[in-house]
Amino acid sequence: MAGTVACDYCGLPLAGRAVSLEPTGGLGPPRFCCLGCRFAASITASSGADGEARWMMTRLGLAIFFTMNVMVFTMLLWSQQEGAAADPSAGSRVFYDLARHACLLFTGPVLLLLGGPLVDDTLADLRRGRIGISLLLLAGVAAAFGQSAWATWQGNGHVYFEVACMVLLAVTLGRWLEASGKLRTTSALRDLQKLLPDRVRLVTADGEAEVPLAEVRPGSVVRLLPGEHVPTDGRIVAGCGAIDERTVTGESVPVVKGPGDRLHSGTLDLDGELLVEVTAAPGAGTLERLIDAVTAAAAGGSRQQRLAERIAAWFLPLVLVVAAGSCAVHWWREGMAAGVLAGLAVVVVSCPCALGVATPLALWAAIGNAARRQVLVRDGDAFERLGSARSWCFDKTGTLTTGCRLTDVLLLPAAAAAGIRDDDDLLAVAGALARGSTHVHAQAIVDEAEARGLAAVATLEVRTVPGRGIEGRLASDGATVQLGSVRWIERLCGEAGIDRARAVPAGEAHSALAIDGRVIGCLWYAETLRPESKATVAALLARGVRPLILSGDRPERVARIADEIGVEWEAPLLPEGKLERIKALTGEGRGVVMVGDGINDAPSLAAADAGVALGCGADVSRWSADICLLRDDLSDLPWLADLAARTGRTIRWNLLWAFGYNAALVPLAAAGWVHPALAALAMLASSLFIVTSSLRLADGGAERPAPSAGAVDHLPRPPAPQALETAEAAGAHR
Amino acid sequence: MIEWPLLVASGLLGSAHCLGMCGPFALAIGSAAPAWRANLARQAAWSAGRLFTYAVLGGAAGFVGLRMSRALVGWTNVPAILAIAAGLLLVVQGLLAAGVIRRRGVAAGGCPGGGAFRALLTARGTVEVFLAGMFTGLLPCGLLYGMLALAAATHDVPRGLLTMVAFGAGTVPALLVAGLGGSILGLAARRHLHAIAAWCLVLTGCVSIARGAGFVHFGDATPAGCPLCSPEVTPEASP
Repeated sequence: MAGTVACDYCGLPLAGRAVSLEPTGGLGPPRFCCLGCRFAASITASSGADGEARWMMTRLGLAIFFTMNVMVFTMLLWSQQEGAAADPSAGSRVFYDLARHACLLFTGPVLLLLGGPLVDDTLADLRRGRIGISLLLLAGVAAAFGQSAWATWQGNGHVYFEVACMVLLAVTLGRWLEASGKLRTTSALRDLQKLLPDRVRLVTADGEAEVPLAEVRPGSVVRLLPGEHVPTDGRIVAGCGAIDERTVTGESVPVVKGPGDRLHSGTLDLDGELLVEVTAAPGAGTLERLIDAVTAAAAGGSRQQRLAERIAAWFLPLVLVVAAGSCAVHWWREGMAAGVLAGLAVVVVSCPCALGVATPLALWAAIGNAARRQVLVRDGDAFERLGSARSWCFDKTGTLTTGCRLTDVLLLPAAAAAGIRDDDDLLAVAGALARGSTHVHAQAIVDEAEARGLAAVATLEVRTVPGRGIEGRLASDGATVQLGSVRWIERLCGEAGIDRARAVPAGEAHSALAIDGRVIGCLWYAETLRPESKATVAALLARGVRPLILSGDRPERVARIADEIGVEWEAPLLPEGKLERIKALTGEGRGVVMVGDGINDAPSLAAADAGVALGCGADVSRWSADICLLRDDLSDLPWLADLAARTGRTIRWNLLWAFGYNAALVPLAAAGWVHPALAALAMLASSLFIVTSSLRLADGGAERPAPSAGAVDHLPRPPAPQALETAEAAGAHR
Repeated sequence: MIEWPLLVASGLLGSAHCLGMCGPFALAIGSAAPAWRANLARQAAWSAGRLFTYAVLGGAAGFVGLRMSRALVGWTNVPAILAIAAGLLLVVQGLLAAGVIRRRGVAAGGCPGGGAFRALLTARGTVEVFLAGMFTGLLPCGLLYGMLALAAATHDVPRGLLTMVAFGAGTVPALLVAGLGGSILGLAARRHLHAIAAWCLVLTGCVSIARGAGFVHFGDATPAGCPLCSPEVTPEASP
């Protein structure tokens, strides 16, 4: 990804962060966004593997074990100190020496186990000529340990082993918590990335060889076996198979593809052995572009995040100044030990990392969660605005509705003469003609004919008359048959007003069927509402949102749909009209979301505070929306709005916490009232709070309810049986 | 001194409650060891880890109790109040386990260390299993908090530590059986045991409250003493 530097451990962008900002390059020293990532990476070498996570946990666990021992002996020392002043007996002295030596013994391993990454981090800072938190922490830990070891050796003086242990442990643990939290937020995207195979079977003139994916070039031919994922975009050269494309298009029904058809990277070859000519270099395929788009959104961050980063940039020097001042004052008034302890407490208790991760961690977690549900967020700002938007505008055709269905059939008197006894006979003939067309009305007829289980009548010479309809001949008696617009049929047959025989709402689309120059019957259609449209709108209304349909269609049709789902509407609007309307709503400042199809509604999507597109398909480059519902399921919208609102709340709480915590504890520490060990615990608790509250966004609602009928209803042919039942039920209901 | 049998019994009886949360961990520990003997060693290491954490927490609680009783010198009833608080916690925990009162739904926040903890549980080495036990000891547990309040009531580091070790030792048998045998006891038997244990917890809590209440001195300047120790032993006695 150009323009940003990613942390080598968690993969989050470094841009704008206080740590490590060097020009990006493929090679060079590893870069980490924080101490936690450096620590985790120093142990795991590569992220995620089970055994490595275990070794890291072992190292941390042992450090905790030794620290706990130190704490027990320290508490024994402390609890005896007050009593010992009155009882300087020999027994008490022996006890003292034993406890101190035990502390020394247990502190050593903690330094060895956890000190390394801190030293590395400090050296990395120094090489860049910067004084960072790491240097101060290291100096404080070293001073505490040095002084204590000396006192133990001498047999008198105060010991601060617990300070060295607790500071080191809490800093490592806190940063590691943040690092593993960050790692978890990116797991959804990494799971996607894992779909691409590491090795492919390259077919050359010399034969077939298994090579790493990176060696494949556009033009190479690879062999794909059933059950394998497509490694990069390509075109089928030979073979034929069912392809599961749900990872990139959200389409859950497999698509059968054969020679010449395009394949998207990351899709799954279910049953065919295919020879594929590669058309995109590895890393430039559909899936990778998809991942890049989402990663770029997260890297861009949001308004609040940039604000937090600007503050964090000031916060660090401020902490250093306060720590130095506090150290100097306490040193001067109470001696060196008090000065070092106070300065160390300030550095430890301040949580600049919390300020830095408070926003991105929550945003990342939410974006990753959405990606897992195949809702792709391309703009973090827009996502945040979605949560508070009060106006939701919907496009009608293709957004709230999908396709058409047959609502009514009318038999005219001439039907009997042509051997058409009932609706089924008419549909059998119409269906046979319609099969040759892709028109939405033709599809509706075929759907209905199949739903009724009608066998298609044999037809000959079927051809499409552009803009009018279809015509052909019946195989049985050679009679000419025409199916098409009422005007066309009326002209052909020399009749007029054939559709007035039945009163139907004005503006309903309908067509007519003629056999041998006689009008046999009429067919009426209605747009099919997405089954989830009504529930989605209801859920949005329950959120206190004002939904509104902006459509280019005829007002009476829009009104019918709007009445059915209970929404306000405005029609007819040209694309420019929609744009004007969106701009006007945006001007009211209540936040406007536009939901539409990614291509036709592009200008309105771009003008809204948040544009949500359906039907993005696999072509990422054509997206003009901030957010894309890959699965074309409107019921993702209320969930998304909730997630966005929760994300906004979490970010505000995180920031409030980070500011409040620092504002409360830094002055206390500077006053010398917070023991560094307690400061370490407080910092740890603060990190834990922020990480867990952010990670809650990564989990909620990722598990999906069973696909709604809507997800099935608008699938291409052949439709699933339940889809037709649903359509029928809806028809009966009307 | 402290009524050790009562503490061990609390652990012993309370451990049916432990089976709910820690039982699965014991099973996970066992699942990595096919042989009976190896499993026993792993279970022992795991329980040792738990006991270690309990001991440290007990010591810390004792220290906190000590600091509180010293800081609030004028306030003579600190240990007694701690004992009462501990008793209340135990009663609530017991009633929760018995199903008399219901717990509010706890939001399951993602614990970032969860995956690594799982890794430790199924690791092959004994050190890892010990560490897994150590972390198990840190899991939130109402019973544990009640016992920690008791440990604080001892207002002494070694005695607080020993209190928790005694309690922890009581939890070992049930978890050992769970880890070794998995399903020695049938579901019905476990349910009965669970119910009995829940009411035993309530009983332990009531005893603690009663003893605490017995030591509350109103308007009396002399130290109230430790509700868990015999009245003759003063809190300042050396360990």
